[in-house]
Amino acid sequence: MKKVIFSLVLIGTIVISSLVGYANHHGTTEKPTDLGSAVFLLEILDK
Amino acid sequence: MGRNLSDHLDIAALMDNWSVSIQLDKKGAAATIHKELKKHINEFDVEKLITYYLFESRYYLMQKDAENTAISLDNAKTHQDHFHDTHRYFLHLAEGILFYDEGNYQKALHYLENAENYIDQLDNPIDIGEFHLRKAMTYYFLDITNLSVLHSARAAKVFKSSKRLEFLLARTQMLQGLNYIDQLNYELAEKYLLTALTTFEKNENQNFISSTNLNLGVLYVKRDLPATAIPYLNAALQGKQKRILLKILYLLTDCYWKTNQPSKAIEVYKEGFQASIEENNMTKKWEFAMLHKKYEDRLNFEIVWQEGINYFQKVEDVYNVRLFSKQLAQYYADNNQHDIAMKYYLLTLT
Repeated sequence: MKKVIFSLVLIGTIVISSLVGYANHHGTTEKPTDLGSAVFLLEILDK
Repeated sequence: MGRNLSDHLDIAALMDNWSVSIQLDKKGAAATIHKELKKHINEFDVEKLITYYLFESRYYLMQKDAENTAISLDNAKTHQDHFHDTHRYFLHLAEGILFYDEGNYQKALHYLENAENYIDQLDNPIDIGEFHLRKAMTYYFLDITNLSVLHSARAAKVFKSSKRLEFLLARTQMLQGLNYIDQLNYELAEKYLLTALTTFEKNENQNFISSTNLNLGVLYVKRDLPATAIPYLNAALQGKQKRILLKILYLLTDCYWKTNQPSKAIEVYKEGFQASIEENNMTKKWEFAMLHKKYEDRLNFEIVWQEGINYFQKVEDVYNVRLFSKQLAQYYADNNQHDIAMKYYLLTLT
């Protein structure tokens, strides 16, 4: 019974969240990927 | 003023050379010209002075000197009454780069949006492409994927126009690959990352070869293919890029554990954990500690993961709050501890 209630609450939460959207734009975010140095850019023009 | 026409031409030429040296990341030449220009600063008219300070901010940005970058921008702003729109564009662009470099992507976006108001003033398409690439990079880290896709497509359109710009196109393709990862389109992600890697290898750009290998490693980890990820992560290590070393070591440790190679995992874990302490990188310290508890020290798993997630909440590291909360919630759900599982499922939605 507890598991059923848990599942219902969880599904409800996910539905509401997807309706209102939850994009968070916080100051810091650490992704595992890398885009290279921020200060570039045009070194290729030298070649 | 005691200056003749040739002096004028020299200063203008020096200023142009300085700009090119900065764009080409030629630190030595840029430093020499900076020293020379500084001697003449009192002779500059207002327009030249504004240009000088704006170039100077990019010069300090190139050296990762945030403090002097801010001083140069403040100096430029003291002449704001004489700004024209191109000055405003480059002022806000520099402010955007400054905050991006500090990892403050929300503020970076704010300044890039200010710069965008003046983008019509730019007559060099490369500057326009650069702007869209920077904005796409900022949106990427803010997890606003659709807008990152939009701006990277606009950047790619500019950079496809000339063979000379293939390096910038490869940077854009690398970002497009990462956006495809976020959109769970792994086949296109792989295609774009491998295309970017080919260009970087052709140009022997070791830093970007490492970055792309790391990103391919991330892709295969996300596809639950740790054995495929390992060679790419080891290749990424070859670049000896300190900036991304901890990210590579962390993923490699995880992959070795996942592929049942505990002795290699422990070896890389020790190197990574030690490096995170030496760099005083609290985020990576927590990540390594949590990884260790997950595979080797199950007794302390729950408490360390709870504390780690608390830390990530405190520093507003949304990516890690979501990532680790999802795994901890799953763990509690599997163990029929539904109340606490609920708490962590909710955190994945923060």
